[in-house]
Amino acid sequence: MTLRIVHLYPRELGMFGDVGNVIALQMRARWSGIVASVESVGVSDAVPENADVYMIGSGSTAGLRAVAEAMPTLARSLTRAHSAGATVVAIGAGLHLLGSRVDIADGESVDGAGLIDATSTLRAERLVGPLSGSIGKQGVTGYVNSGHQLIGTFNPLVERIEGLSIESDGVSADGILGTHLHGPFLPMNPKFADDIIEKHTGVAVDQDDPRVSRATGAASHSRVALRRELGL
Amino acid sequence: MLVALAVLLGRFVRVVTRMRGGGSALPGWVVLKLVPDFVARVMTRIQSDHAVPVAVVTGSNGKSTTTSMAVAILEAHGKRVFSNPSGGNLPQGIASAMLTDVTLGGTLSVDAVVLELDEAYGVQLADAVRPSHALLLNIQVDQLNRFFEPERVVEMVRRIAEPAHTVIVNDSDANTRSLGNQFAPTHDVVGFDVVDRVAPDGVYGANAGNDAAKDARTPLVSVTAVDGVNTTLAYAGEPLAVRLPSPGVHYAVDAAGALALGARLLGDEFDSSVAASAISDMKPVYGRGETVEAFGSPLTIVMMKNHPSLQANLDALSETPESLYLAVDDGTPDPSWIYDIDLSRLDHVDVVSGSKAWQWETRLAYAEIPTGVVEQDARTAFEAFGTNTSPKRQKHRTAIVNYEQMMDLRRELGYMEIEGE
Repeated sequence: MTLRIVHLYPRELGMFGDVGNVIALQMRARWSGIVASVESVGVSDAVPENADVYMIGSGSTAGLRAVAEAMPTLARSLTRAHSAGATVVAIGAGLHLLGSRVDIADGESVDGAGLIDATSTLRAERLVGPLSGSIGKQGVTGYVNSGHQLIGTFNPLVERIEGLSIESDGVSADGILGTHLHGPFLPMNPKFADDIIEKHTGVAVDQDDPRVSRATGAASHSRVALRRELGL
Repeated sequence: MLVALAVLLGRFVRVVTRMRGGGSALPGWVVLKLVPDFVARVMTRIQSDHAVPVAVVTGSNGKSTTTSMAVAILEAHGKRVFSNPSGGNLPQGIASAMLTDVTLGGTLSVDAVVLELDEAYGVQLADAVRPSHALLLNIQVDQLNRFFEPERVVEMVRRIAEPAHTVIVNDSDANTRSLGNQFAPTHDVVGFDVVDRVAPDGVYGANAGNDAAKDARTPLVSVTAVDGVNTTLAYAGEPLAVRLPSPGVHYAVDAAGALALGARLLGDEFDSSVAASAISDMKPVYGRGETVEAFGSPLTIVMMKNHPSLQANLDALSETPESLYLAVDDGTPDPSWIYDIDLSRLDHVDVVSGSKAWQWETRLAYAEIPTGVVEQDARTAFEAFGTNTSPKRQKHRTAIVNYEQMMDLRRELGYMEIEGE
């Protein structure tokens, strides 16, 4: 069994440790006997259309500008892959680039890939800090550092948020997991990595494997520690 | 009168905080409460009485080390220098440092001033300090919970350097090189760098999103070879052997920057061999690759400040640490960047501690690096580290800690002196 992961623009988008999401998928799949491959795609590269999971991470204003030229290619290939059943994990700026347009500064904007019905505008005040919330019935924690907000028609991913001034975060759609929880989103909330792996391989992640249970246990302690830090 | 009162009160507070092993900022904070423009007053007096050069050192990584090197170079040339001790780069830290030597009238008798400035506070301090020289080290992905984006830091650093007439830039860092290019038409711009074969992927692996083209500047100082603590620099084309206070290419680049600054500040008086000896005689700067005594054996402290600096420090380790303690607390509010770190230098961690211990344990689990003990309480954890490890092959233990844990650890081990004194 194989799991093919594509990491989009790691050089330009990924300054918050978002590669952690790729690592979590890859390692948990491997620990369950699945052959997991990771392909990094650069700004001038073609985007493979037959992968199982696409991860696009967060970045700064310079990062957004740097990937702008790749957006037409991404729109075409990612739309095809997504319609064929691929999962897209999109963090921060990467999520905003799935919409139709991202505003950067006075009048300047970058066209997005158009997978979700949303545009991204600058927030009046930047959103920074840890949060605790839930996705469905599962509690999640993570870190946010964002100067943008998404405006459009979509269902949020993370709800019942405590610790930050927002009530919900991100985008949940068929085959799309979008959030501002950067870096260790999947490492710290591994249930969602396991769901993705099982969906694409039919193999349930082996929770009894000592490597899996070590990571799952540490992630659970991390969430408790972060909730304590938030006074929850 | 008010200045005299503030100086006396500040000195009193310092005696008390020293007795308690406290930090170095409180005395300065008290002074600034009484005389908010204390730093500006002292600096104005220095500059009006004599033409004393004032250099500021700023950037993401290497400020403390480079400032210490520049001070050592100047002192080796017989100059009296005022500087702020490592880490004291906020307004209250600088005011604290002034308390030692300032007269009750607010006068400092010195030949030169070299200050390390925090990037954000530096913008307001630059007005008070009025630098004649600015040394720009690098601008990396750092403290994003505070700075948000590297681009904002580039602008802060530009504003710090703007009032100076001479700007010394690291040409091997894309962001400071770009600033050098911007300043070239209006300022005396001096470059230093590291040759490509020494650092083929750059000194700090992280990309801050700027790929400014190389300028035509010929660097005044280049790092041409690094082997552990031994480095060869080229100064004005001549090779210069220097022993670094701690191993690593990043420290060699700091030395190149300090030499370039020293050369500009001293002019005709600058003697490169005197400068090289001054750096070679230095001890590691407080907490940065420093070795202290713990459990009857040496303990080497590696500081974990941000992704680029931790990566540079790990890359500089000559071998895999045999006995390793890792402690991070809320002083690193968002440690997400630990997923960007290449941990291949580590084969195990004996004890993981601090309030962020489980964040690190999660990272180590995904890297398949075994851990002995995870204990959030640092005191209990450090005791376990002493009990569970006994240096054999390496003769010393290693601790990777963030700034706050480094301070706690030193205090716990009885190193009572305030940072930098």
